[in-house]
Amino acid sequence: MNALAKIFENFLSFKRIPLKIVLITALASYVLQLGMIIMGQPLYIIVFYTLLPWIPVLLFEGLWKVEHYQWIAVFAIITALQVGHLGEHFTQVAQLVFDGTLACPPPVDAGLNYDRAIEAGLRDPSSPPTNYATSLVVLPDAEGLPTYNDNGEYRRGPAACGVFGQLDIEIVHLVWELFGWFATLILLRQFPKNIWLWLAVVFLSIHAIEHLFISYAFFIDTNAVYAGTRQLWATVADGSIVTAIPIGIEPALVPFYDVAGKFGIVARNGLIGTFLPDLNPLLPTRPWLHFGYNTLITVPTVIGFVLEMRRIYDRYLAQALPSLSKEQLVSATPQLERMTFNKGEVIIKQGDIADRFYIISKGEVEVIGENKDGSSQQIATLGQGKFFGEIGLLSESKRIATVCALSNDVEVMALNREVFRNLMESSEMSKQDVNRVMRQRVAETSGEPAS
Amino acid sequence: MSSLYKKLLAVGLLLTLTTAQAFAQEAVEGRVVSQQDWIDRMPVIIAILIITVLIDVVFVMAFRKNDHGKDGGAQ
Repeated sequence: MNALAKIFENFLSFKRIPLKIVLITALASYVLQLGMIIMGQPLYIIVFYTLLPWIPVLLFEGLWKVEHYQWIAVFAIITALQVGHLGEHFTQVAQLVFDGTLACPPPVDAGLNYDRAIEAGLRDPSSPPTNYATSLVVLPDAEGLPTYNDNGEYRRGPAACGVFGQLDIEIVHLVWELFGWFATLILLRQFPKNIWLWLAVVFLSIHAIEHLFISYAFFIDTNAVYAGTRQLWATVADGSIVTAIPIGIEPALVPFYDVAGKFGIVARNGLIGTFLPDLNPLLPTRPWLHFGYNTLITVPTVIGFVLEMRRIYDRYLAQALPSLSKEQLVSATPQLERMTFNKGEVIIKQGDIADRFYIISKGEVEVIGENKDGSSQQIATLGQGKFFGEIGLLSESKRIATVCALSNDVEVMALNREVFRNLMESSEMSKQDVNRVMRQRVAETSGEPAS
Repeated sequence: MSSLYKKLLAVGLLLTLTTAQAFAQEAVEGRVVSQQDWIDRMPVIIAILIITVLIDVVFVMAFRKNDHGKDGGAQ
């Protein structure tokens, strides 16, 4: 368990983004969040501005992790997105539990909603529309009129559409579901022995069938021939917090989607409920069903990811020391220390005490030998995936050459002396590989043939 | 008023009337959804089911063929 915790700690820590930038981002996020709360902004705007500064930071860090850890980093990103998506569904069902109303996407304080509020005398005609989405909804009764509590006040609760209710539309549901399904199928190609991913694909496929049919009903089956109703809303605003008040329903000709299609196959009033009316009341409503689907998708995805994390290693370590076993690569990866250098900067200096072994993960370096007469000469240039610094560590001598960065933003992954020696002791083949390179380099430096 | 202008006016009037007719909604009396409506849509549901299963099978077959023995490591 400790080993797994160490792997996660290493994976989740920021590597490419300096701590200073992370702290500035955290501060910016906090200030924005506080500012939005003080300004009395609705929840979706508070959450949006809290997340906003983190987007570029997480993007750059994510790209670094994909570069170093490859498919497991992609797995991590997809898992994080699925967890965030499940969070939206969880928020929606929690809103329903707390007297929420399914008015999705939430009515906006503008246009007809604003006009109806003026006509009904619910707001001052001189107050302009705010254009904010509804945060609170007064519960409508069967006639689509407001309901009241014992004190004669409106019974109100949140708009049960998740945090970002404006995205609670069929095209977003479809695109997200298809993305998750195809992304998981592609992951399955990389991790075919992960049974949890197989399980996630099964539920993603069932969920895809639901959304493909619902989207067919919404986008294609649009002939409005059914008797339906439309709930009419009037919006009033207290600062930026908008409340939607039901002011009745109007009969309307609606398409199949409105009367049945939006419930899909399994949800209450959907296909199964129509053919098995006794079972219909027992079936989950659409928000609960889709919360269930997403739980059944996300939980195996998370478990599959955690299991895969036990096999994560840095690709450049594997490239530099290909004879290491996977277990050795996994245990050495958290010990790697990322270092960056600009053009001309000295990474190791001839004559210094050898303390680290370096693997180049980005850019090029030059190896320079300094002669006794003070002159110097370039011995070699090394690029991505190559290593240096092994001679001083293996021969327990001082550095026999200087290594400088040849370009800006050279990145190396360093192992300290102890970890490097342990690795060499535990892998005879790697030791032989490194020794071979070392003998060749010593010969090149001294001008003698390698033994 | 020129003859061309009269013709254009007549065409415009005709188009306006036919469009208005097309969008006219005199009474809101629609059908009630029934089991038959779902039965009518069963071919679509079956087609979606088949397509979904086929996509899964195509993906699985493709990687079983190409990546036999892959162990899911980082590389």
